Amino acid sequence: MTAMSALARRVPLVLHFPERDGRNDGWGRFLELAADGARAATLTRLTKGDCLRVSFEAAGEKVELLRADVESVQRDLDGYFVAELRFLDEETRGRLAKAFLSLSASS
Amino acid sequence: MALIALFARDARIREELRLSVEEFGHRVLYAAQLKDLMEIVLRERPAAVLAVEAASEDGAALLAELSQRAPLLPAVVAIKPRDAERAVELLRMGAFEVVGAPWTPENIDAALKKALRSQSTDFQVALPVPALRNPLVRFLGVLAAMLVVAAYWAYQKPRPPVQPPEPTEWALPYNHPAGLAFHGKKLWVSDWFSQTVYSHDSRTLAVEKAVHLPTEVPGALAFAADALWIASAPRSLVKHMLDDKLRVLARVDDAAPQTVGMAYDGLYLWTCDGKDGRLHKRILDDQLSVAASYRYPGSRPAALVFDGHSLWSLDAGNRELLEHDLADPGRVFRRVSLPEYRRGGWKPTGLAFDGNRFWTAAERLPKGEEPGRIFAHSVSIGPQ
Repeated sequence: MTAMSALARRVPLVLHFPERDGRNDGWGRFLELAADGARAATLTRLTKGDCLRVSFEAAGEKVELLRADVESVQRDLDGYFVAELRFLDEETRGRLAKAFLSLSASS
Repeated sequence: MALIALFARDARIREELRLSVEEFGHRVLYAAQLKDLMEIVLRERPAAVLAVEAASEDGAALLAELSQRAPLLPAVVAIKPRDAERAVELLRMGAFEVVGAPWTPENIDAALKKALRSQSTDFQVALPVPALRNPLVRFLGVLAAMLVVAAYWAYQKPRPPVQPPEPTEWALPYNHPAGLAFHGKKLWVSDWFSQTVYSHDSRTLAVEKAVHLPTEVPGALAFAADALWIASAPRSLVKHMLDDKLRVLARVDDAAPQTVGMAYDGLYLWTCDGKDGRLHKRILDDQLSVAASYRYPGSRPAALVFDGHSLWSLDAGNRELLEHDLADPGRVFRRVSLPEYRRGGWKPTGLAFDGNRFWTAAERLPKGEEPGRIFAHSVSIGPQ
């Protein structure tokens, strides 16, 4: 896979911020995605310690408003925010783990 | 600088975005209609498209058209109002990136940079050789035309498929390559300006990993005894762990004024100095003690590599490779001219060997104002 198609095929996600923050929803793409967390690149400004919710669709699973903590954020060479996210919802983590397991078993 | 195709129906928005993009140093061709944009795409071959989705159908129509007619062209779609669901929809349709209103120069610049960077790691670019305006070229032109006619007739018969020649030249997505090394079937390149070490796929040259080294200005690279050594300005040789972050294990003050090349022969770390023109044989101890020094038998050393038998150097002055006697590197077995550099315009900076071919990295002269380049050179090794 070429670098560009790799980027183009990366799973997009929506970033929802708590209402009290008064921030618009943002979006980005996962660079890495695991059942318990992910690394995502986005143009939306994120800071370490942000609590947000993410929605995405991966491995046949539709995940909506999953609670996540921003554990670290770095700016990459292009100015994107690259954030490490930790998913907080046990039930969804289990669901994702099963989905990824079946995906790897079938590939 | 890249050529960007801009699509916006609204003249005011188009003008604002054009000025923004030009401010980042790009050239812009713009269109108010999708049809005109596609003409620009097909005729001018821009490096990326920046399109404004004014009506909800614009983005989808644009992406469908691009996926058919220019599937590798990255498209950045600017949307208004800011709508995350719509943005994700467009990303799923194939948009490279979606920028939400307000379209800040910072976001537009970041998205275009990402699109251009990804593209430049994608393609293997071979520079066209400029035609010479002399009778020989005209003669060759006539000869070529005759060959085309002959090939046309020959083509009437069924023939086995012809493999395209293997590429020997690639553009890098950064401008200042300084060091080159092979390790784990990957080509590693240091870029002194961005203070980054890149790992490339050795077949496609796509960037697979980039590690920023904020406290170093990386130059020559060498893999030795499960570590990566980097000659770093000013005057230090830094040992890095081979982990994801290339953590620093040791830093050694370099007594040589300007170490520009390093190679490991399995026992000693060889370094060459660009200022005093000497080769140093170093022991891998805490100080990288110099066991022996030799006068460089060429013009201006730029890099070193060990091919398993001999030590090779890249002579930037004479634009050739030198094969040295490992027992006495002042003695040269062979000098191999590098025609790729005879055209001028490139300064060789790095040298690597993959077990089969030599590779060199080059910076655009005079100041690296264009993307750097990697050349692959077929040189037979072993006794001549």
